[in-house]
Amino acid sequence: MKLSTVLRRSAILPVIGAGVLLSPWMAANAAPQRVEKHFTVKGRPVVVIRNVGNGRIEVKSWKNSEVVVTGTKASEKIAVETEQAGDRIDVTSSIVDSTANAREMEANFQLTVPEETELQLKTQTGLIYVEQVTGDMTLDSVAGDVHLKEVSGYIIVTTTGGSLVCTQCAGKLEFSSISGSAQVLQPSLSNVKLRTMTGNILFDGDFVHTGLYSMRSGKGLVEVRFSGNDSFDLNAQTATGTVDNQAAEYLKPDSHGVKHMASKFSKGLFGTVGMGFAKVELSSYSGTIRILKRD
Amino acid sequence: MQCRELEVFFEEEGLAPLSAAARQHLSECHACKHFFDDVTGIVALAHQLPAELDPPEHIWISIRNELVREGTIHGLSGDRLPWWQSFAELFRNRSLATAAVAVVMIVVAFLLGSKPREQVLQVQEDPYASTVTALSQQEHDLANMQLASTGENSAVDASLRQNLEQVNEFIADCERRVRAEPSDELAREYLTNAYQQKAQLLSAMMDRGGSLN
Amino acid sequence: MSEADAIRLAQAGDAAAFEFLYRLHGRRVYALCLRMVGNPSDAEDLMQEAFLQLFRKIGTFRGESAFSTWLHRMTVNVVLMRLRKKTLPVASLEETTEPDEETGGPRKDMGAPDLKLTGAVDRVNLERSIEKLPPGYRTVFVLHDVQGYEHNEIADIMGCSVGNSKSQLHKARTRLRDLLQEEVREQARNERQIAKTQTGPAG
Repeated sequence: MKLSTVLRRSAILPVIGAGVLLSPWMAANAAPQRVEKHFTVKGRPVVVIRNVGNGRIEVKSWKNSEVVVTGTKASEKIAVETEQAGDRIDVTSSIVDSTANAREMEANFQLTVPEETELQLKTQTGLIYVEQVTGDMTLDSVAGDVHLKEVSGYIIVTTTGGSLVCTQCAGKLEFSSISGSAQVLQPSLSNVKLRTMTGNILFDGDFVHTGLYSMRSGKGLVEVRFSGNDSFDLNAQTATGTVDNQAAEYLKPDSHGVKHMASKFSKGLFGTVGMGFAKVELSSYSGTIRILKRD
Repeated sequence: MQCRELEVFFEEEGLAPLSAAARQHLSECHACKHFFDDVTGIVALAHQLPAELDPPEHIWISIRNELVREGTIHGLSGDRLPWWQSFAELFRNRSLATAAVAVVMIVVAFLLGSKPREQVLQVQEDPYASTVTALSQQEHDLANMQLASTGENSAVDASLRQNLEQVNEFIADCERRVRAEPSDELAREYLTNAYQQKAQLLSAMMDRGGSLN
Repeated sequence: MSEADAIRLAQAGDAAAFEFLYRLHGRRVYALCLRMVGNPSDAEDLMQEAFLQLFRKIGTFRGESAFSTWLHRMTVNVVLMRLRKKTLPVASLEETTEPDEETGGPRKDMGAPDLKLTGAVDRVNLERSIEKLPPGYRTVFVLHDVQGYEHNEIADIMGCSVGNSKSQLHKARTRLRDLLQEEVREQARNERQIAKTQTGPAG
């Protein structure tokens, strides 16, 4: 069979002997209920969690070809359903009784997944925590924070008020929030896009050669810390805020011979550190932009 | 078979199936074997990349609106709508509200980009007017909608409302700046993005109200 | 509705027919755009542009080729035009790589025995390296090895010969291998650097 034929067929989601498993969890009593479900997978699974209630979602990895979902729900006023189709696992919570209060609407999930897994997680207020997973991730939270540790892939995080802490992550990262802040620590990211309207941004890490780093806050602080080995072109602008350059001795005129000028309406800081391999763009409408070298 | 001939073979025939001569050469030449293993691995990995991906819904909305505006599409709600009236239809489906504002952004950007410089000051009041109207209408609809009535569950709703207030404050700040300095492109860029974020937030609030009720 | 019916109705301006065609082909087109430009924002713009061109010209489609081929041809043209505006130097489909070796010995990029890739490359590395390929190579690689088109289809889409498509694919794969080797070396260098920093100076 030609490779191209195999590839065409693989564009259709394979259902290889797994079928569809539908299992609503309906409790017989009002006490918190804990249920554990095991799903055998063949390739790189896709795990989708839609938690309309409140609660945490924690994801860790292991070397087995199995996804284990452990759910704890506070009452029978919230229902949780799971469904498996091939290597895709869907976990959905729904409110069955609209008189439920915040405590009764709580559903927490712990997942153990193969190291290479694609995640699509959505919750309201609880923390989303992911550790040591490689794969594309779309993580949505309203008020809950998102903590990522040693993850790798194309990571898209969207919150309304929740903050992001991303430690030792690799790949591409996009973060968008209204009031949440972002901290990116010890990264190996080659493409970073951080956007927040009123939150703060801290990027403390290395800039990969040919990487693109764009960080923007409306009112908050945008702080970048770099090391002596870093090499990047800097373009920083603010409309009514301030620029705090604590790295003047390391910042030279643009090494590519490009002459920058901020508009007469904004304040800017332009220059090159090292050979200017990466590209760093910082912007804050009315907050402070700070750049400094890590000791 | 020499290495050069193997390379020509790969170029003309691909990696599979291998001829007997190619197989023989690979069993004898470590360098070519390395190359073959590496490239076969790369191709296998490439096959795992999804050939189809879901595009955001707003792309279709934008395409459709543009085609309606041009008159390429007919048969939409009976009569052909002028483009600015299509927003009223979009807002009936609250989840398309964000896309509607996005289209306004495109039109705004086009208007601002195409006007001669000396006319920019005159149109500054106009480009955002329809956006502001659309967002105000959406906020009004949201206020009328019955949100989740339970006690503490409104922790989420309180967070959403608080964020909406912050967005409105920020927008007001940017609007003041743009009125005072119409040529401040950075301020206009922030204002445009803020409108878009507000539209997305309002959509999320309306969707949440629907799912809980 | 069949595709043929949808095309006929779309040529008459029917809104539902346009949407049917968009839903039928949109996912594939979006994947192609995203792989070619590497970021969702540009991919969305390009996808929109491609479909707008397609729908404006749909009246001229006479069925000489498959509709999907026609659509993909338009998409590739839109993408390449955008890439050519943005990148220097321009990379054409006819671009050759390093000068051919005069001798019968192995090319300098075959073998590279200092680093074996197997096991060291993951999807993130691969996607990053695909983005670094010249546009012509990137197009052929994505169409063939990611999206599964045959060389005769690629030749139709790209407006080149089948032989040219095969040749470009081989060169793309070879260049990709070089890029990935550099990626892996860079990662190893960074890891050594981090390890050195963490252990601190001796004595």
